[in-house]
Amino acid sequence: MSGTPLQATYRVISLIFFIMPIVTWIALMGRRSRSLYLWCGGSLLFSGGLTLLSLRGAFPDWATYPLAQALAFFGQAMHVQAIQLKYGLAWRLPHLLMMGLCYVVLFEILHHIVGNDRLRAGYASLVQVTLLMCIGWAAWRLWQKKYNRNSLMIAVGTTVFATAIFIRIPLNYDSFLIPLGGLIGSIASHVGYIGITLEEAVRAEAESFASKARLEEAQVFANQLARLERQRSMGLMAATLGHELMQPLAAILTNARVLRRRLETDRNEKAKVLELCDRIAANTRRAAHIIDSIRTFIRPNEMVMVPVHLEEVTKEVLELIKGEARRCRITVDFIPALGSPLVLGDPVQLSQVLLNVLRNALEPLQAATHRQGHVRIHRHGDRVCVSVRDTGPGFPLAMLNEQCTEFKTHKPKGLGMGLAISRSIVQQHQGTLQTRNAEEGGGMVDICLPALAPAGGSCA
Amino acid sequence: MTRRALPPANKDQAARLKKGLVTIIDDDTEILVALAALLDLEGYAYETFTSPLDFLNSLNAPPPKFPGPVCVLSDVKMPELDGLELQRQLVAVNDTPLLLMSGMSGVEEAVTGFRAGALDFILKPIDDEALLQRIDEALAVSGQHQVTRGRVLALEQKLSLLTNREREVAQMVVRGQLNREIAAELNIALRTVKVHRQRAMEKLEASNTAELVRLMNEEGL
Repeated sequence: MSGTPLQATYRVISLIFFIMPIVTWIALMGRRSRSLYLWCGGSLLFSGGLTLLSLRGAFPDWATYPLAQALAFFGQAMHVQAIQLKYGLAWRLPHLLMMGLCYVVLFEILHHIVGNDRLRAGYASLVQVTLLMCIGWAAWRLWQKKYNRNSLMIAVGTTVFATAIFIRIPLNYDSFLIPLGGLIGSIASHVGYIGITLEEAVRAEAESFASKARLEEAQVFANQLARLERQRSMGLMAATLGHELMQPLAAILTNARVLRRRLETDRNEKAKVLELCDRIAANTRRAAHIIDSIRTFIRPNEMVMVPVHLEEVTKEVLELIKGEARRCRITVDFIPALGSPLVLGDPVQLSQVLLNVLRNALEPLQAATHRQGHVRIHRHGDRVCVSVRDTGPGFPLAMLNEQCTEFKTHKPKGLGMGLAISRSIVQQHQGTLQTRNAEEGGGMVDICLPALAPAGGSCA
Repeated sequence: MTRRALPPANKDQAARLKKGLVTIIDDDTEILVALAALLDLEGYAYETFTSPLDFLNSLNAPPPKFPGPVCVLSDVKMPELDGLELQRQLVAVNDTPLLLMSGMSGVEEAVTGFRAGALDFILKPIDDEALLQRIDEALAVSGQHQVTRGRVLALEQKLSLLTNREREVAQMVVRGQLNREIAAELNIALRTVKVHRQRAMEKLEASNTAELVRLMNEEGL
């Protein structure tokens, strides 16, 4: 194709600006975003504008002058947008359209009314330089905000290209500098753009790994905290649990002594001897069961999610708390739900929550005249709830309002950790723990967990 | 829950009645059964309660009173009423000796128990020899109480036979006044004083003045 050397220059640059976005597009195939569309689209528009410029004479004037200028303008403007989007700031579309329109109108005025070709070309070049500097400036800002080194490449590339065009204004013509600047600018900025996007992706991935790791770490800490709290509450209960253990041991000792006395003195009717042996065995099992439940409770274990019968967990906990209730002369009644509903959860952690809530309920009862605890399991829609009510003074209003705050307590001896840890355990089970004061008086705690099987469904 | 366990054989029953009745109170059934087996083997009469309230109520009911010595063996820690409170309430009703058992070596508890009048404080797990020894001691105390109570009762019966004048005269004798002084003070004949004094001694079955004084002092009149 024939033409002036300048037109040949335009053709070379337009070819570069046609190839580079395609390369970029292919490189970033898997990471399409609005910014990538704007960047590649902008390059293609710019390439189209330059192609039209290079076809002056062969094509009608309206296409090679105003349309070509508009395409070049919007192409570069889209590049600015693409980079600004990377740090979440973009020009408004109406403003952009208005600026483009003004540019083209002024260009046409210079072209047709003033008729000064040199002034017109200078004006167009100056606007192009300004736009390139805007891209460079946006890239510089990106470097400052996100420390993405590849954005410096864009800044350098656009500056080189802008310099090449700027030199052309006073000299009016340089067939060598412009394509060189265009080549460097285009390649540098496109490669830079690919770099930015890839670096962003790597960072995002690293960030997601880090947050995953943090989450896992938090889970480990939560488990450890829960375990420590379990050990602490066992420690607080040690005296009463020891007494609880003493009961079967005392029974075993007495039975064994009676057995010996019988065998010693030939008063060994078989039925009596067998009964004594059975009693010794039964009490040994009872003692073993108490030790076993304590050991299960304080054993460090990972959270496991298995189907749990809330009723059984509650009974176990009531067994653990029996000694303490006895010591404080508190009676606790228990109403299980029909059909023994199942929930998905960690049996140890759930019993920890129940133990906490029950001990919390028993503590204020020691000062009360009527000492009664009520435990009830019931279904509430698709949830299974354990409600613990006491006949104590209830929760102080301040506690009810600050119920989510961790480490708050209204008891002189407590650390205020029990309820906070219980709440976080229940939340990990997709459940809720609510404290309130019952209408009948006294404090009330509702623990609600998602039911596993439909009502009446029986699973092992 | 009340369980009265008096073995059927009459001879055995008689022996048990003589040895004494032990009331065992513990809210733990296993302990209750084990202790009952021990007492059964050793030939005591026994009854068991899981609730101290039931036991106190049974005291108010009019059952045939156990003729021999009795004692109560109770746990300290119980939900409705603890052993110390039981002790306080029991003292108000009668003088049955109480033995307390505890699973914990609570010095405070033991002190409070003794202050309230518990006869002894036994730690769980219980040594059978020691327990039986304590029970025997408690039953002996109870037997002693019963003997004293019987004597006082008999004396009261005898005293109720005295006429007012006879009692008046007997009291003055105890104070060490001579017949003559009594006659002057009551403004009656000396002979009449002698008759009253003789009758009082006959009714109280006192062979001499010294015995009359002892009997009257024992009664606290």
